[in-house]
Amino acid sequence: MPFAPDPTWEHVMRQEQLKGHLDGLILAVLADQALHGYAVMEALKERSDGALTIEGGTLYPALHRLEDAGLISGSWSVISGRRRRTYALTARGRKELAAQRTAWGEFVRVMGGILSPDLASEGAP
Amino acid sequence: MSLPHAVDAYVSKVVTNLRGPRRMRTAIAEEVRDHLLEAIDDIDHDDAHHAALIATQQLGDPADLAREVQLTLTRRHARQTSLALLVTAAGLSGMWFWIFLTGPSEPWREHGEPRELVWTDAAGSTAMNAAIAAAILGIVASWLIPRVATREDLASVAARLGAVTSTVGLAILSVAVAAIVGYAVLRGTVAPGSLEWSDVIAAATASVASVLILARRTFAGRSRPVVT
Repeated sequence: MPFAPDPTWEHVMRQEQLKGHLDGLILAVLADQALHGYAVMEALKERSDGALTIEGGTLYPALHRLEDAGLISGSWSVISGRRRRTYALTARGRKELAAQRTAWGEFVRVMGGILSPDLASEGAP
Repeated sequence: MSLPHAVDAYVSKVVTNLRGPRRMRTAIAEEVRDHLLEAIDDIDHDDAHHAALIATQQLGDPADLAREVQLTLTRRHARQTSLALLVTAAGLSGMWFWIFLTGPSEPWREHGEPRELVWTDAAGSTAMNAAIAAAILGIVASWLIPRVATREDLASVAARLGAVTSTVGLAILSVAVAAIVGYAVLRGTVAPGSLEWSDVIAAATASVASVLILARRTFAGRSRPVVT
């Protein structure tokens, strides 16, 4: 069975948790430069110090969904004789990323206040 | 250099599980293949075939990937078809209206239009309006609803509805064109002097060509295999 990754509980849980934030994560790695699918996956892995591994089966549908929503735009180029699709953030994508960053900051502040009140009060003026 | 068997097999499985125009399925196949080859390059290996197996496992189940991408493909295709249908139907409708409006005057002003002409005219107008309505419904289902729907299953149903509506709309447009051209032929038979024939022939040719182009664009390569 060459196409059957080990579906451990932890692995499945992590993929499910990621799905809710995947769009924002993809927009964030595309904010600095245009990347192709594999490079997006590697960038996510690298920025999370290897903690986040996205399956292609999750990444590519997300890329196509974001492109369909006009948040990113894809373009074809030829690299080393093979066609490659590269994605870049659109103006709408930048706005959406800014909104997601704001919402995430608020989420962390609220959840931090409940789950880690000591840390929250230390940070308070 | 030939591709490792696992890459070919994986890409084939993705494509087999996709439905839609060939160009869209080819684009997905090329993207997936590029991903796998890039991954193979990154894997520290001596055996390319073993590296290909690892790369395909990392990408996940090809059927899952195809199923997830399918929703976007269906939605995009339905939206493009609906938009093309709307532009074509509105354009043809305006063109024929202009031709009948600006042509020579109708000879039956006083005695009433022959019944067969009335019915053919009504059939053409109704079908054309129905095609425009189907196109608008297709746009709403494939573009507007997915934008506001918070539930994935609703967006999925809307995308499928958009695909069906645009295809039905195309069939209705064919009927509309047949009825309008039929009306022109009937009218030309009953009262040859009531039409500007050069305009009618040009419009009929443009109408049939538009429907054929639209149909080709919608259905081309649906059942043809993708060369990976």
